Amino acid sequence: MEAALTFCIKALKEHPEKLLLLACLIVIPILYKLGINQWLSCLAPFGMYITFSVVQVSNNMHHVRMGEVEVSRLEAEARSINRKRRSKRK
Amino acid sequence: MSFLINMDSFPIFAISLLSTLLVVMLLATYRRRLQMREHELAAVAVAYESYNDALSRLDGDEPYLSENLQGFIDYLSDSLQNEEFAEQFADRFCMSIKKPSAAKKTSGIAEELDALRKLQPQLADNVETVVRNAVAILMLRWKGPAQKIRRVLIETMLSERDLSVDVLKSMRGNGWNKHDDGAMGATA
Repeated sequence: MEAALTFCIKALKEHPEKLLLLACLIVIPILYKLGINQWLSCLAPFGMYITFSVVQVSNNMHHVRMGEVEVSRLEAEARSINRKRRSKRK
Repeated sequence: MSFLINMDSFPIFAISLLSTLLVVMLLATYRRRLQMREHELAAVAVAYESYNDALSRLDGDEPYLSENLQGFIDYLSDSLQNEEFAEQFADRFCMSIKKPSAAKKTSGIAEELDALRKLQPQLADNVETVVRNAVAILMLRWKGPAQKIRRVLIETMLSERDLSVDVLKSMRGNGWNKHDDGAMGATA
């Protein structure tokens, strides 16, 4: 049991989304037992899981946008260096 | 699960689980693409920094640089931020990988660069850095060309099966996987 638990902890340590899915799967029967509406007790944890995934995607989109901005800055720098080079030649 | 959830409610649980997994899988696919683009842009930024650094060290009135080389550098700098040029470059690059010509063509630019290396090695290094980084930028800056090049490179790698196997064989037992405990057949 302890080995299995250690294995699970190791496997889930760096994967928050899987950890959240596991938590959802644990929470659903608890909500059931508390007598909450069947649909609600299923959809609330899964909705949370989907929201988490959407947040991760938007985080990645933000990183891509930041990358584009950084590349645009460097492109502007390259253009200015090139202009200087050409003006020296003339 | 049946002892935790009433069997009457199981379809509700199954529908919710399946629809969630479907949505999450679609999001994960999209996320992987975004991550790949993020890595590509980070590589482009590194290449641009190196390119700018080398370009700033190349004087416009450098006497050792021939008109031909100056023109080539100007042409590269002008075309670098043009997506259509990057598309054309990717097409030619893919074609050259798919059907490599048997006869080796000698490029005038390469000959001039060799001649320059004998006179001014530092200057030749700068020109080479500019060209090398420009090629890397052209390959990765735009989404379409980057995708095309990646696909062709993978196809080439798969078709040259023996080569890939040889590379793996040469890696085995060199301690390349000693920190990867999960690797299959990991050697100590």
